[in-house]
Amino acid sequence: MQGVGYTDIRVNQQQVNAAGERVGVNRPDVQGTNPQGVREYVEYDTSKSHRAAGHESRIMANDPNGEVKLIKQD
Amino acid sequence: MAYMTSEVGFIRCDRQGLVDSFLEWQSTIFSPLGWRLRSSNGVGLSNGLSELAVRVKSPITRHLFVSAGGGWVAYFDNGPHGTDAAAVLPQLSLRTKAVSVRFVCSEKVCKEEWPFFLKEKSRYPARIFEYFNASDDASRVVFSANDGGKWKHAQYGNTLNREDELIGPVDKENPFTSEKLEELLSSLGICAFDESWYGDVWTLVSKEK
Repeated sequence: MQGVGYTDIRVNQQQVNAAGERVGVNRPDVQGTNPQGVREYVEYDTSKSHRAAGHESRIMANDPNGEVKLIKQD
Repeated sequence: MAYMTSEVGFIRCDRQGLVDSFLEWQSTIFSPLGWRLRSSNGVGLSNGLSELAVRVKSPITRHLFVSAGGGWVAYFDNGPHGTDAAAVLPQLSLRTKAVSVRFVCSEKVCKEEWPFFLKEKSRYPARIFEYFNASDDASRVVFSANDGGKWKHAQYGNTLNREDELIGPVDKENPFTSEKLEELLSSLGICAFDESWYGDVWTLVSKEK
């Protein structure tokens, strides 16, 4: 993220939207704003975990303009 | 409106070389998106910081490089909460092979003697020190921060010279205070809380569409 122009990168911190406003007390694994100004959220879950969908819906409810990437990691 | 931030970056490097490297890096990202980048030089710390007074959401459009003492260059930008140096400094260190340092000093109450631009109050206190040395892969992070909820305290990476003597271990009983942050910065020749340490000469990089 650093090398390709993302800003306001946060790791395991409360959710902040592209305007820098705190929009949730949930803590996405990684979040950052891309050079186009879109806030991106990354959640890492294992394939046995059933929490990924819940993570995504909560993040999107907090920031409907954001994009969520769910990554399975086993 | 005066510029306020709770974060500043520092790189020990020639200012013009740093600006050239920054322009080269940012152009590869933003030129294809239709942004034009240009740089201009100026004098006077207040004048330079006033160029950043209008904060933007994203992307950050103004970046200020101010010559400071001991061969350091201070980095500021117009991010939504003041300077956001976390992504910029490691990249510039890698590109210039220069040492860089980032600090955050976010407090509910600011000290009277701090520089005018470091008096940004916050509901979420944090003292963060990050040291990055691209040439020998040595880095160091020390922090006490409250992002909402419990305080977190940690130290990562290779211990710096004199760090044990100056601040010792950081934990719940011995948090990383603004005084300890100032000591650690001073040991590297960075007098971040002394306004007179910052120089008068600066370069502003602006992005326009």
